[in-house]
Amino acid sequence: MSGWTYVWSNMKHRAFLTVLTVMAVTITVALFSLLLMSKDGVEQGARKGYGPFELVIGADGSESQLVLNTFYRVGAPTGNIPLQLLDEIRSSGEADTAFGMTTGDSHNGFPIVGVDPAYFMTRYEDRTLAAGKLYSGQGEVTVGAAAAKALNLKVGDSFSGAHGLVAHASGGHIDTGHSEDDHDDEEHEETSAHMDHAGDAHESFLYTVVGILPRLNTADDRAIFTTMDYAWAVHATDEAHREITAIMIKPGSLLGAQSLKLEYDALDNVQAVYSSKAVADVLNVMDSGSQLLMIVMLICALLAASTLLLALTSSIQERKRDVGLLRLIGKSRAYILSCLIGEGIALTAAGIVLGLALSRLAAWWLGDFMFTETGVQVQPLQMASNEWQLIAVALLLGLVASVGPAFRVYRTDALTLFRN
Amino acid sequence: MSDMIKVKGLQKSFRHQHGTQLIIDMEEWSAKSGDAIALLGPSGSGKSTFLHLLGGVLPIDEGILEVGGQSVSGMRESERDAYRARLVGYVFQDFYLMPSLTVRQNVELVLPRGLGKAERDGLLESWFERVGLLERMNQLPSKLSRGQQQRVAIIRAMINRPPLILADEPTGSLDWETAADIMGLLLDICAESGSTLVTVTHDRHLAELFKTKLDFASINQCLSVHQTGLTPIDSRISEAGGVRA
Repeated sequence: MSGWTYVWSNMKHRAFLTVLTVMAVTITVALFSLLLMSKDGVEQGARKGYGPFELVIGADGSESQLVLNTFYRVGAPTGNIPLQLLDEIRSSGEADTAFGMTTGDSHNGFPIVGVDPAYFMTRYEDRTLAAGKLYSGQGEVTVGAAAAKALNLKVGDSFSGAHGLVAHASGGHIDTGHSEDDHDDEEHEETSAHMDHAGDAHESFLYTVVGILPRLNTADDRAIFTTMDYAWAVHATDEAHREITAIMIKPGSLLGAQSLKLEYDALDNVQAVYSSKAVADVLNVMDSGSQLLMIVMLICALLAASTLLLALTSSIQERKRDVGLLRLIGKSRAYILSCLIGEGIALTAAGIVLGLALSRLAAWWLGDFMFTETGVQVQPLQMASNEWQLIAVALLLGLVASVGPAFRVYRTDALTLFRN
Repeated sequence: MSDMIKVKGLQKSFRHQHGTQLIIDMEEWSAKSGDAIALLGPSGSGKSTFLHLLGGVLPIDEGILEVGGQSVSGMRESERDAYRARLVGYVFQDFYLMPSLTVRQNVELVLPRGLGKAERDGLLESWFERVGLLERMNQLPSKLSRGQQQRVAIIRAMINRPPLILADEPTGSLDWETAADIMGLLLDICAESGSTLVTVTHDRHLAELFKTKLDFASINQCLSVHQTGLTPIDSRISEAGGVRA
């Protein structure tokens, strides 16, 4: 009979304790694994979130807020800037490409983003749409894959947008179709309306879905795209007062980026931000949060290791006579030690396998919801970075937890069998 | 027949808080291959200790002990483990079957690893059939009666056909009828396989089944009336066969 059969029989015989121990390891590993997958999702999303647009220009305020709103569709814009800045930048010769963007309205919580359709070619190159075509005229929209799925939108559907970013109504929305002064005047009234009625629907302005984007694995999956002039049309803004919320710039050169930043950062009520720097700042803040979470998770891991230690100690003490018998029938100490440690390793390994499976199941099940709600995209079919280390550390903890009790018992001699 | 067990000047003592006490002191003794020996003697007379020396469970202090031509005297612990696995089968009063293993697995535990599946299955089935437990070989020991558990313990001791079987009160916890049955089975199997059987028992009736009945006091010199305060062996053994070594 192999040692594994013996170990397996023991585990089956103490099924309740075995299940409890394996569950403790499973839950800990699953939580760790989910955390690592989410961390990867955040980092990967952040890294590719701004595409080739190294520089972003928007209204004065928080750099992080500007970048998060422009590229990740998180939070409200910092404010509005004049449309003429976009023309100036395009004609400066320092930018390879520059796109203006208008945001502020939404449909059932998904932001309606006004941007030139050429943005998609610059950012994603030539991709085939999931359905239909890119918008080209006012009132036409092309919907991001996740938003289309969540809102059940198909080509040919129509809807009316709501004023403000409904999902963040209490955070203060920006009315892109109004001047700063106008906006200030209306802010209290509109914010209150969003909170009471979950969005101030522009019933008179209908959008028609003309296309669905493919899955891009960026925040653009969660947005609805239309022409930049929708906001001005919705709010009947005259040409002289047209404003945009941000300008995304793919600089022509490093020097060009620097020159644009210096020039536009110096303007009143305008800031120019390096996308990478702002993203790095946000990631640093998130890293601190992750580290705190990691400490809590480490406590979970120690608790799981303690459960394993207690389970093995109790199991091994109960089996002292079995060990005596094994010695009597001539099994070597090495055999006994390997069986006892093997049991701890087997319990840990079972917990690791189930934990990884559970985390993937959870990631698969919650993936779309997480992405829609938070923009964090987890990849259940890939090993997250550091996940191999997680497996190694879990096995090591299992080994450490097993070695103590095993060493206490493996020296048991055959005479133990005859002692009361 | 050749000598299976040879003892010369064998000594074993135990330490206790007041000093050291000599338990076994045997000048010369031997047993032939295929012998069936009932070892009789009062509780505390060292019979079980002698069994443990024969089985290599306890190390020998002084003297020579040879089993199957192999010297047990100078063996290290790991060598004694290997010796036990190869040459000795044990049967106990309390069976000592592992509760987490089926009775089949309890027996498989002692089988050598090199056996093929078909050979292993055939061997197990023939042994379980021999003791009338073929239908119950996949059950846990707790599902079997005490007599059935002892039959399983006998298979475990005998399946590798070791040349030496040591039985310590193998029927001590069984009713009289089952005890006679089990002792008969043990003797039959040992006779079939030519193994030497050394059995410690207090039951004179069962001892009658053995060719050789040995008063342990006659070979253990440290046992005397003065030391033990006991009367000569025949009167010391309970008629009911009730006291343990």
